[in-house]
Amino acid sequence: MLDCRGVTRFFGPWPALREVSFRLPAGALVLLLGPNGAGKSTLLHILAGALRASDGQVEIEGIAIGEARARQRVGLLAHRSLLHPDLTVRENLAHYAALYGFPGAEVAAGLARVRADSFADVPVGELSQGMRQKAALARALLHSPQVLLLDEAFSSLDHRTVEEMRGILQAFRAEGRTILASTHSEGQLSDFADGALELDRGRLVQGRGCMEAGR
Amino acid sequence: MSAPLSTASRAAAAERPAPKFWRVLARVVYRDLKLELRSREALQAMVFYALLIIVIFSFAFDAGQELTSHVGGALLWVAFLFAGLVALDRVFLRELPEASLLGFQISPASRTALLAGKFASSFLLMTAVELLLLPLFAIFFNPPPEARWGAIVLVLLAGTWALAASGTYFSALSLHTRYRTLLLPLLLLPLAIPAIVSMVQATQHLLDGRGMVGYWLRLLIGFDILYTTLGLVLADAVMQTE
Repeated sequence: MLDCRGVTRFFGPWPALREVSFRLPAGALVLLLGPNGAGKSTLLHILAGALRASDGQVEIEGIAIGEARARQRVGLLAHRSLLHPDLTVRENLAHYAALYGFPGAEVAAGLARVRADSFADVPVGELSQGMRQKAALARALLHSPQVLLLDEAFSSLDHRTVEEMRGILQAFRAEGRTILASTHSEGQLSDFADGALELDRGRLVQGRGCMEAGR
Repeated sequence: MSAPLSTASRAAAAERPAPKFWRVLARVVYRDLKLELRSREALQAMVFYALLIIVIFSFAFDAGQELTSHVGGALLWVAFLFAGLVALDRVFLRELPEASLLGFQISPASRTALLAGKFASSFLLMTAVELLLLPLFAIFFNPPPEARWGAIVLVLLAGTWALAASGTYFSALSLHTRYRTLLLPLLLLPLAIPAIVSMVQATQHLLDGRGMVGYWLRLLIGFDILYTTLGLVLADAVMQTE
């Protein structure tokens, strides 16, 4: 369960988000739509705990996102991999395993989960865009999050990689976990999305489907 | 298709305790030093800059025992300061290409531990380069035989600690600014001046064999404690800056 209540964020005097409220149930896949500058990435960074909201609250399963226990429950897959290009995929994942407080032995299972074991010992900087994004997905799912946030995660990926990643995300969702995916258009995930939130200039202008949206 | 996790495994994963401070710190140091030993980007630039300054000064000032006993401490720290700025500039810069710092920020790991780890890796790197260059300084500047090298190494450690503690903080603070490479020395050097004066004075007293460094060393250790405490207290705020 992801609960976002009255989230507002200012960058200096400029509001990037204004009183955004919604609630996503477990097992839902919801699209976050809106044009460039609508505040999608800012919202996802706040939901992931990377940025503080100027006002409002975010809770994951009833735990405030400022707490480490809440961040343990969230994964973020962005258009950049969050992996160091000079380290191999396996080394990067071992590093994240340590940051999430579990043994490096679980890295092999994480790699197998997204079928990234064939390039696990290649430096991330030498991987193709598709492989890099699969490695990033392995990182985002490594700690078995309850909520997965996707920030334009499929941009500049070929059709085959998108299909492969869709399969992994469907399996993830079938386990009763929540996905919130930001995108410019409804294309790549719309056929199995439960609903959509639409942002415009920092305001939630539309919410449809299974979530509760409101001010 | 991915292998599903059992309900019990999922619950266990969600209830996993946050990693301990020292484990995160050690992991950050291990990763940063591994990256540096692999690429040697900062290491090579630091040795090059410091060596260049030592060589230029040694020829420009006709280095000898008399010069070294008067200004040797300042010359040594000018070289180490420039080398240190290279390390401090790189410490967060290497996280930019694939936004790996965001990965730190969204993890449950303590942000204070992350900053402390970055500080520790900078300190170790700067100290290694300084210990490598100290014998070269002795060769080029021919200091008096009464110079107290053991105590100089102690001052070097305390001085490097002060620079790394304040520098790591400002490196994080200036990371997302447009002129970060310019901003780092502009923020760091004015604040570090009291510590720089202390380390130069202490080194100078030890190079000319006077050995009366108690006051300067105590002052330097005081700055070490101050910069480290402030950095750790403000770590959470600075690691969120975007």
